[in-house]
Amino acid sequence: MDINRNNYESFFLRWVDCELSALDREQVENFVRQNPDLEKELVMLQHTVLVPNDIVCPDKESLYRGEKRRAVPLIWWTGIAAGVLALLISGWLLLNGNKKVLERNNEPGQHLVKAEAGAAPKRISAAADPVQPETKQEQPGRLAPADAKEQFAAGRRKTPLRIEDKNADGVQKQAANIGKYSGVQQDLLAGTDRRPASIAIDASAPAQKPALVTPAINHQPPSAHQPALARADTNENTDIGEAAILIFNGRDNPVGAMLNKTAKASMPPATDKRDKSRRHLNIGLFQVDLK
Amino acid sequence: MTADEYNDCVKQYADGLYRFMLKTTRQAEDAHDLVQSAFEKLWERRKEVNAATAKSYLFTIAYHKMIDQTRKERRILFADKLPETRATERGPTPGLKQVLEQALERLNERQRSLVMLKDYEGYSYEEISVITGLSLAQVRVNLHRARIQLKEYLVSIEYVL
Repeated sequence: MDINRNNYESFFLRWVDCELSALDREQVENFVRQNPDLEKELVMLQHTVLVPNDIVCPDKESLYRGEKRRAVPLIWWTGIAAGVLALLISGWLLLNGNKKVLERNNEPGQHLVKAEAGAAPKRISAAADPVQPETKQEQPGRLAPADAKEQFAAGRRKTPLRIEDKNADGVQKQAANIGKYSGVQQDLLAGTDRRPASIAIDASAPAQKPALVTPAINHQPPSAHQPALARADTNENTDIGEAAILIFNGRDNPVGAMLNKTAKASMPPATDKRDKSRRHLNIGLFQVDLK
Repeated sequence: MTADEYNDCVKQYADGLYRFMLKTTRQAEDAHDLVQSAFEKLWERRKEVNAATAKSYLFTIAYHKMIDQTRKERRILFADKLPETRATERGPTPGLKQVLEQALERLNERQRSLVMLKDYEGYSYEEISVITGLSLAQVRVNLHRARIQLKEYLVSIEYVL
């Protein structure tokens, strides 16, 4: 159907509503050019087209369903579950660590030995450790293992080798392979036959109190008169977690008293009265110094 | 339709559906209730409704609920003719958009709905016919009448000015 002055209104309305084909639209536009008096009517019809307002539906969030609405409680429960899991793991590690300490120290003839500064502690046999406490400073002119053997053979030396000498001589090769911090260890300084080889008491100053805090923590170099306990693990590269030592006084606080009882119950009796009052209990990466 | 597709429908169509209901009912609370009712219906029937036809489904549900509601409450008067009120009696002359809004309010409910479905949502005559349940001829005739009434209102305002 062609557009004319009798039916143009229907064409104009469909032109405004965009319901005409491209061909019909072109026909309408040509008709308006040929009849300019009708152009204003087409423009007025164009003005009746509504322009969308920026109206937003209120409370649109209430319309969402499914996972989106359950997101908040899920996060809440996940946080609680993570916290409970962390507590369980921590408790298990603590209990398991104490159990390992007790088992390790109940092994006959076995104890942990701290190695020289910067080295990991090594497990050695008590039978191979007959060393009496001696001054163990970095003394100049210290005998080599071979020289020590010669002195022993000549009767000038009571013991064939010091522990340090044995280490140098390869006696503890097996111990070196397993000499790593297991994270949980207990060290008892009571008894000369169980004294770690790297820890020696200055015989010239037996009454001097050992330092309670290692230099690994306070980063102060050990003095010449400090006992070996203060020098243990005093390497700059030592992990602060490994070297951290908590000091508890068993006489003054309940935590120390409890740990002291635990140490007494799990350790063989000390034979050296000088060191009877000092015990170490390692819990995790922390070494507790007991009195 | 999945839950995600349903939520996409909320994101895309909730504002348009609310605008359509607000302009039709002229009551914000009623409009919101109708939108909520339509989306609840969509959620219940989500397994039967395709995501591609969800918009048409929403407008159909909302439109028919609105018709039922207004018939019960008789809030909206079905007037076939524009009131005889002259523009000069309504205070200062607003802009074209405001004049058009005033003219829209003077249409009957069916015509107003058709104009909004056409202009706001861009539906074709066929789609409007599906949504409203009217025949294609009814949609066309009612829309054309509505346009002519709006145009006459605009011309009368222009004449006064």
